[in-house]
Amino acid sequence: MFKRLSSCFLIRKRLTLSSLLLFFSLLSFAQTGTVTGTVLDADNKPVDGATITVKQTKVSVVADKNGNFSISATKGNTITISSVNFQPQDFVIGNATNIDIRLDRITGSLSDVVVIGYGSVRKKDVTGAVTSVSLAKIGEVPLTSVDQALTGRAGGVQINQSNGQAGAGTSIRIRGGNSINGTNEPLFVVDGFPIINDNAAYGAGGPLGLTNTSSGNLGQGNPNGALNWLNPADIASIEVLKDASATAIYGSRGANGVIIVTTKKGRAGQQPRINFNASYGVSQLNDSKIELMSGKEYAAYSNLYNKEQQTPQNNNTPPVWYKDTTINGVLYPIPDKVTTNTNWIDAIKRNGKTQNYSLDFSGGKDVVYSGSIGWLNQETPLIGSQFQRANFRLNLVTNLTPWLSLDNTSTYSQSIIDNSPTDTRDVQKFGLFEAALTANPAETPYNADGSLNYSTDNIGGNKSPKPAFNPIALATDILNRNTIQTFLNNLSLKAKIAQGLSFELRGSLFKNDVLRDIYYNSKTTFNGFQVGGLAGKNSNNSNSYLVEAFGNYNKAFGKNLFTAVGGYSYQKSVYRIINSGASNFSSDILKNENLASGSNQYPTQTNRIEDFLASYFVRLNNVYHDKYILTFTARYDGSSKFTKGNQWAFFPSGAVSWRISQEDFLKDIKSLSDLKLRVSYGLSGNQAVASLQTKSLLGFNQYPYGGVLQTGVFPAIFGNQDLTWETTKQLNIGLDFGFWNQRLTGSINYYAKTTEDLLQYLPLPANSGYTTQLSNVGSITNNGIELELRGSVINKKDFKWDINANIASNKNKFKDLGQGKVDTLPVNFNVVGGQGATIALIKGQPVGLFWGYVSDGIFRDAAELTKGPGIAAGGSKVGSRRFKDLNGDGVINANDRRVIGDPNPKFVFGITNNFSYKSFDLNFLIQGAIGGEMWNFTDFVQTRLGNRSKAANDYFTPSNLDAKYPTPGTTAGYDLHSDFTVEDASFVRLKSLNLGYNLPAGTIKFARSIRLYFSATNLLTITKYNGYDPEVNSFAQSNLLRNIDAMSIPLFKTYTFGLNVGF
Amino acid sequence: MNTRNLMRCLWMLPIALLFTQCNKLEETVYSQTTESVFFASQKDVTAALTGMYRPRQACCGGYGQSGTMVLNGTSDEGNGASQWGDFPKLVFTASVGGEGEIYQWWTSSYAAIAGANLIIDNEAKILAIDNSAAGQAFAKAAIGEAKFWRALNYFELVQMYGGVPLRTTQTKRADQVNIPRNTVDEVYTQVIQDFKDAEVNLPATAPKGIVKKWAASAYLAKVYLTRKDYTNALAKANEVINSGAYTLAPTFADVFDITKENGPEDIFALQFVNVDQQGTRFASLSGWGITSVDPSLYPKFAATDSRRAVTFTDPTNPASNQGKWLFPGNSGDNQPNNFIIYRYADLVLIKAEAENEVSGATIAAYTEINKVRNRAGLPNLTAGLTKDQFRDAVLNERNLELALEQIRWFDLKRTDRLKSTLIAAGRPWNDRYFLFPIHQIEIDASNGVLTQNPGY
Repeated sequence: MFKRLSSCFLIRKRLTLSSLLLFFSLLSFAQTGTVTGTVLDADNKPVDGATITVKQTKVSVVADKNGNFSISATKGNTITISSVNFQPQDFVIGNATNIDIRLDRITGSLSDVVVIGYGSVRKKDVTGAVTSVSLAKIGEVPLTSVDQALTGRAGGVQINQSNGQAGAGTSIRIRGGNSINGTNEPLFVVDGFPIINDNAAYGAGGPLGLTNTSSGNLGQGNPNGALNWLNPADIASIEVLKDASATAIYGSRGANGVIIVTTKKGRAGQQPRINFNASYGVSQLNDSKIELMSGKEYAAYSNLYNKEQQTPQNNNTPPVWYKDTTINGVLYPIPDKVTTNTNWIDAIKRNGKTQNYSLDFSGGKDVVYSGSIGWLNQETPLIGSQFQRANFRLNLVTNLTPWLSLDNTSTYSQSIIDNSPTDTRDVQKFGLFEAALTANPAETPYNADGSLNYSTDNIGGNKSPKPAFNPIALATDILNRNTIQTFLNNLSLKAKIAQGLSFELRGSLFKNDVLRDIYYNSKTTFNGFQVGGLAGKNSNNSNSYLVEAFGNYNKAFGKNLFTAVGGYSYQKSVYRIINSGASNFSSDILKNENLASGSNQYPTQTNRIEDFLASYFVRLNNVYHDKYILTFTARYDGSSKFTKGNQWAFFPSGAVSWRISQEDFLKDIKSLSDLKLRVSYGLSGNQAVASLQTKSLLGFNQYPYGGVLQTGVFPAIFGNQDLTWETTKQLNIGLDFGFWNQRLTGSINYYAKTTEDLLQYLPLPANSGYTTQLSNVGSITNNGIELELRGSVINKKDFKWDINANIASNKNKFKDLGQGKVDTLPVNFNVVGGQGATIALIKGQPVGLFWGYVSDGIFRDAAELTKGPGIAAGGSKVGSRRFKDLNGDGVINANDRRVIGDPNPKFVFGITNNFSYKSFDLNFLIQGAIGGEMWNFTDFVQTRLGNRSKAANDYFTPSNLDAKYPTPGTTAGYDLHSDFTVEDASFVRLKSLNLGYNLPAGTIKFARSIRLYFSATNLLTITKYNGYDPEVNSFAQSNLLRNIDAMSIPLFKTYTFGLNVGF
Repeated sequence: MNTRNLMRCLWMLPIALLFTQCNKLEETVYSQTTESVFFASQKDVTAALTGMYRPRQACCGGYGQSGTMVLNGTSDEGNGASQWGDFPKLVFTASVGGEGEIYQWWTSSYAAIAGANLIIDNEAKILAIDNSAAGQAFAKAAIGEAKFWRALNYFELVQMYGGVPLRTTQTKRADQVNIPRNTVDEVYTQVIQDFKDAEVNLPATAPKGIVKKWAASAYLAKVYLTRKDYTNALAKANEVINSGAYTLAPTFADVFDITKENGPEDIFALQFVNVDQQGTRFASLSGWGITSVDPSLYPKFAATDSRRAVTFTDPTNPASNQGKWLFPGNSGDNQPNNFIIYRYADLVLIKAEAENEVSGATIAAYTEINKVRNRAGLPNLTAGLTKDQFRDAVLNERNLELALEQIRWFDLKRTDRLKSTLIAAGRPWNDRYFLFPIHQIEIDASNGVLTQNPGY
């Protein structure tokens, strides 16, 4: 030990000496001298045999196999460095005599480097299923979130935005969902830092399983996107790792796929470059699809509804009739005389505005840098809804010594998201969009005196036709602001120890703090009115620390090219929540800024958990004769979430690939430039388990012991000591091909995944004192096929046309429910109107099937009614909906339900076309999902009186026997969910269109480049779906509840103009 | 650069790392409590005592909602049928849609038992908190109270469901999760033992609203009576009566007067306060129409019986609802009225009944029943009744005195009059109604280890 220490000391002495020498050499370097350097690729690997030419002197040398060169040049000279497969680069000689040159690879080439986690490989040596998403084209348009860069651009990656709300989260599925209760979101690795894209941790709920709300009915916004903090403009590359061979390096977190995001780095020797990008966009609510009833129509409908509802069960409402009646001095005319015709959607919408600015700079001499400042302000087309983000990034790379380099990437982001809490899943919450869709069109938004028109009489009943609470108030009088601060810093030291051997040590911090400000106005909002103003401040903090140490080794042995990566990783995460709230304020002025002034205080909730993950990982790769490639990857993960003995798990994978095109028998086929067969198999895990699940915990409750209310404890949770990871086994067979010198390339992949040990809550006999326990039971399979094609259709000097297309199909199946003898398990959930709907888990079937009744028209006359079948609870009458009696027992009850819909699309696809003509370029993305069904609760919700779509005017009356809809207000079967509301959600969408113009080089003196562009999103959608948007998903990332449209806000159309200036 | 030296140096870094971190994978519980660190102070013990009562006070599965629906609705007092279709069918079916009150009663009873077992399991730890005489008395009282509560829950379960699984310790391991049913006798043996332990450990006096030793004695009287062990029932009833620990409230109205709660007559009352989720739901249940009083109850009261005005919301309306748990001006869910599970009048009548069974309609028996009658403003019971006539008179008196207090069903069952009374009242009957079903959810979760009651 002492010997080692002393040798370290020795090095330090030498370092000082060498820096002194360097100092003197700098002084002496003024005239022509020798410049030495190393040519490296973007991944700091030496580029063999590059040519270095001094422009002024035409002197030229070739770098050795380690990329080292030495050439005589003068300060101010420009050298050009070029190499096969790389973009040539110019470098102006400055003061430094020893320079690192980093070259960019030419895209599409087999020598492209693919980042695969703890290193990178040449594209031709990849053995796993990996899709690289090039940001070269995408990066030129103003994206607001990273998922937009992925949408439609990678085969087998399905992206759904929850809704059109500002900052709404997305759900990303790579090759289908593996888990029921755990997350199905892929692992994001941002500059080496693993981040789980779990929206629950970012505003909606915490990793603690606590919702981020205090006591009181504070409502809950839709979860904000977990990756909102990333500025897409900062991203250099995105790689999607799909099969086990690729994901096994991330072990217990790899099962859902891994998305590797690398932010931009500077280049050694590059002159400072500054880019300024500004764009301005307008956006519109895509609400043209549903036309709502007019005031007249609604008044007529309402009269019929009230007439029908005047039964003893509904005696709570003295209904308001549109019969020239006067109530409280207000006249309600007969329907024909109703003149007011308010479109409440219009009342809450506006023209959205998006401003997006970024300034980025990069360059490098002794310190290679790349940084940016960004500002985004997105005012959505709904009033009161806004997303603001400021971004700062600075990435630095420098050589401390010739063998030791320091690399730091640092990103800070602050987002402020304002939304009406439009979670329409809970009837209590009166989401904004639901309120606007159902509000009475015969009422005006404002009273004559300019005040909001609403009636507080409506709490608990329809005692007035006025809106219970004015939708405008929901948008403007509820403060619901999430302030999210995210900081990511990775500091790493890379040492070149010997030829082919390097070592990296890194320490990272990822910090995410969410502060939610909530205030419900005491007069104009439901929740606020009930308690005299409702306020809350909820803070949700997470800190994650990561230390990693790993080595890279590569060496050629004869025809073998061997590479190895191995190391150790240790991650600690700490989560904290503080929720406080109060209600009953003397005025609305202070909102939630002085909770103590509320006369009713809710108990402050606090919680803290920590988890640890320790890992060893290794990847061995051998390429023999450039033909046969073998890869072995494994990770050994230990997690604090499990009990001793179950803490460690091994996730190995192996892959072989054969570059058939290198074989002699194919050498003659000139058109075939690449053909590679890949087979991989391996295990990866899901990190789904929450903390503390193996511990039996005492919970807290309250009881007036001795008449005095106090806190008690009770045995609350029966921890399962045997819990373990969900494990996914995946087989992947792939074929990569390239024709005509890689002008057309592509790959086809078949995969078969089986996920076992699913985490599910199993019922326990309640006499044990507990009713459920989290257990590992059941399994799911996902099988599918993916095809990706990239082609250059036309490649002329002035005109280029590329196509990039992908199509994927996934079959998801419950192999084993794990629920004992039960093979059909209905799961209830709440949708708008508080009506529980049901999805079913069925053995042998996909997850998330819609479960309900089969509608069979309307009882048209007494004879049909007598024939039945009636609702078991009674009440069926002429004009009420008829359902199919599936079990033939003569009545309609819960046993007459079956699968009525399947949310899983048959296939999803994306096609990107890129054109360029001289200085113009155009690209557009067409994306679609075919075959999935949507449960459209937009139409179902009207089990209570509210406005409806014009289509519902086709209701039953004795003179409209063939109506689609039953008699307004009919109660028999009104709450039975049937196939009537299940629709085909297939769609094809022109997702984005971008047109750009680059000013020809040299036309402008002050700038290096100028680009003008126009961009549009969600421009055109072809679908048969009758709701607003076939792409929304009200339950965001849930794997059970897919394709459910519970009055979600549709995605917006946006039109953006922008300017990009480079200096 | 000497790469050899460099390598030597760099290798130290990960090694140092490994040593400093040591692969720490220990999970720490910060914001919850585990049993292993609990019971360190008397406060902890009080918290556990507080926590064990909550399941039976909560809305679902407690005495408020479930008890009213299950126990009143299925006796001849209540009329659960209105608006709910055939109420007995809803209760006496193993797989009622959803979980049903009958499952929630079961679940909350066992949650209460688990809460009691948490204390009983930690007896040694609790006794070690404070070695002083007062500390030991506190610890013993806590153990006694937990055993009292456990016994009370098993006493009701065994009457309602028959021989139920007997859990005298918490479920800690997977192999303890699923156990078969015990016999009725085994459950009663445990109930009697627990009440006896409680009697020994509990103090003779306690603050208002907290259980004391005599409550355990009073329960023993009730258990013996239910087991038709009249001699012991009489002895225990006498012990309690002679102790003077409880007295009848001056008027019947006083018993249910919200301002006079935890009065001299309460032997054991579940506490409720006017706080969100901490109040009773009796009044709002009336609103649902499901606890409607059966119209046959009203005529059973004499016009001069002062109990009639208290028992019904509207003293002049035979069809009106229960009036015992009303909080003026509040028709919602959070009424602060305590629910008295056992009161002195009940015990007084137990003594009368036991005395009659042991020695016939003696003066002592008359004395006890007349205490209750006289308070209600009724004259003494007709003298010279036979043993059988007196038995009927006591049962009738219990019906009037304890109407809608979730006692009638137990009384009818233990006196073997359940079937005949319900048939006479025109209720549907099936012999399976002697026991409530174990819900199918429970049977399924046990993978068949639990057997269903006959007829379900």
